[in-house]
Amino acid sequence: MSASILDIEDLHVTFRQGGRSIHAVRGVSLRLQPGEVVGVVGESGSGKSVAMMSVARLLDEKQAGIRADRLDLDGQPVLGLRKRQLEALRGPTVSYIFQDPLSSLNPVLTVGRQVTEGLRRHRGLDRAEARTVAIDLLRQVGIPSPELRVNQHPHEASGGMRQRMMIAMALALRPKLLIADEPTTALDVTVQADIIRLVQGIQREVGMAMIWVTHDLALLARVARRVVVMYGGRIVEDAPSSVLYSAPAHPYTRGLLDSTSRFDVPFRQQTPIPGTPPDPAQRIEACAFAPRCPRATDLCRSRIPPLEDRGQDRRAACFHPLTGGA
Amino acid sequence: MLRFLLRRLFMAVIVLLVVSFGTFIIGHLTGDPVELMAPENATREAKDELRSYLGLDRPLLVQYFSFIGNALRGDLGFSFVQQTAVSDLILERLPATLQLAATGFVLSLLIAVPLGIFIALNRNTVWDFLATSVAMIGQSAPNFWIGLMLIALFAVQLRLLPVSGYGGISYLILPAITIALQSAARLTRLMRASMLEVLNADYVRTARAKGLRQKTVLWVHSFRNAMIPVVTMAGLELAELIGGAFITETIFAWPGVGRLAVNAVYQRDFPLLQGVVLFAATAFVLINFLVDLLYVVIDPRVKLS
Ligand SMILES: Nc1ncnc2c1ncn2[C@@H]1O[C@H](COP(=O)(O)OP(=O)(O)O)[C@@H](O)[C@H]1O
Ligand code: SF4
Ligand SMILES: [Mg+2]
Repeated sequence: MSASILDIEDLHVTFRQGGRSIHAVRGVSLRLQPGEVVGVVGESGSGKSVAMMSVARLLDEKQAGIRADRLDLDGQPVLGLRKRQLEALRGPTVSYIFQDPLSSLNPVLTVGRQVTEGLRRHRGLDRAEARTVAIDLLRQVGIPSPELRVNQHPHEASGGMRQRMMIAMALALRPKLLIADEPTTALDVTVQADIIRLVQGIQREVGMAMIWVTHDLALLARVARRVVVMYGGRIVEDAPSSVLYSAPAHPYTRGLLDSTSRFDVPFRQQTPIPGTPPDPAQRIEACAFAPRCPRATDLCRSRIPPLEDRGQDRRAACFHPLTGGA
Repeated sequence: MLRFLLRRLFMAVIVLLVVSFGTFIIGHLTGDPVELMAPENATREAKDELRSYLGLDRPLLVQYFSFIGNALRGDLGFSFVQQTAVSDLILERLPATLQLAATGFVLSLLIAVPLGIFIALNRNTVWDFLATSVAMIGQSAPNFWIGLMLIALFAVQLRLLPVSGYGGISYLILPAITIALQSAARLTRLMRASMLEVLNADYVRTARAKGLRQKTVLWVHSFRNAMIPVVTMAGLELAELIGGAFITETIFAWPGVGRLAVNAVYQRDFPLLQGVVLFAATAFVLINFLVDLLYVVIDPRVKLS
């Protein structure tokens, strides 16, 4: 029906934990066209990672209950797939770069092996071919002396080099959709910019669709054409970057922008949003942001604001938006 | 890596020196061997002569160093009680002990590794609950009690296996199970915990994200990592098994080094006791050293430390 690479409609993820239910994702709808680059932003705990991992069903489904009206990846209904079909999508169709490259790489296997495992699995390369490709891939992501690196183990490399290895691994199969979940958060500030440039360059070259997950709005301004803001397991605003940065509609987005690192403001003077994020163990029949929102009214405290079109290609979930008002 | 191994080797030597000195001192404090050896009515002169013949009149430290020097050449002294070289006595009994300990060890691993993995993969099921409960009970049941229960059930009641003694496989089964059970219980629980931790690790998620087959994720990306703590523990278990063998040998009349040691205690045969303890300590240290070597093979990160 649609040519979307990713089409999510009303995704819910709930963890069962010791008799309690943790509502990590509470109704996310998101659509990505092939080649589109979208940023997902939100405070820690807002459900970004859980939502992203649902895309390839990487969560432990003994703990996580996933349901959605639609969860289509490249036209295939992910939730209805059998194990084998799912495995076939992971790698060639969707690929991930995770936050912490040290813990995300297997300490006992060589870099070369880990980088080419996907190729050997999905493309049937033999050992010698895989080695050649591994060296090539490592060179492409800017790793010096790749012919030595392939035989080394992850702990022998620096943090930045490890993340380059993760990138080489994620890109080995030229996926149609790349999901980078806070790829620079665990890295030294000095190498963050390099990694961002590297991923951006490869994305442009390959032309794949991509989701950048971060809690850093300033970073997204540089890499994403469109930004999705998450709060309490929901999308509260979704707009083209130019629109979002110049005139946010949702008070939470405004708060994020105000607290975001700006190059002209010293770190200490940035104002974080006062208050704490909602408790994911609680069901909320109100705007989750109401306790922290300066514009909150009784209406906000009695109903969940729906995510509605606000013009300018923007969606926002707020009864009293700052712009594009209803 | 060389530095790591050299440091371990150095520590091993220190441990052996401490143990040997300890046994040497204790051996000398627990009684005068001359009083035990000489006939009741021996004269004082005769006893003194015997003492000086045995070199027991020399300063303690001199005796200790000559003991060490001899031990290094494989001479662990002479058992006056048995009128045989200690090293011969040990070597004669060693095969039986090795047979028992090795069988017990292999048995323990054969139970613990597959069972631990199985219940980790099926956590919070009936199987997990059953195996974990049995392991918890097994872990706290003393060796001799397990041995006696096994004898009562399989040898006395069911008459399937001999009560005790040494011979074919049928004699080996009960004592081997006896020494294996406790260690199998501990290793099963460790294997389970270790596997669960690894299955939750970020790198296993990465492996799944690459679309690898479930069995590849399990055997290539999880198993080896999960074995790292188990291998360390298994080394200690082997040492413990040898200790357990000492008691078990006595229950099952198994002619191993353990029974030799127990007899040596009764007969105040201190050169023999000293020899056995030093031998056992060396075995411990050697096993631990081998575990360290194995560790380097499994976990490439060790090379750095
Ligand atoms: N395996 C899990 N079991 C229980 N709760 C979880 C699990 N994984 C994540 N959560 C919870 O889900 C919520 C969203 O987490 P996450 O998606 O990681 O947030 P983000 O990536 O936006 O920082 C958090 O409250 C987190 O505690
Ligand atoms: S709905 Fe109300 S409380 Fe929620 S963000 Fe909008 S104004 Fe604030
Ligand atoms: Mg996250």
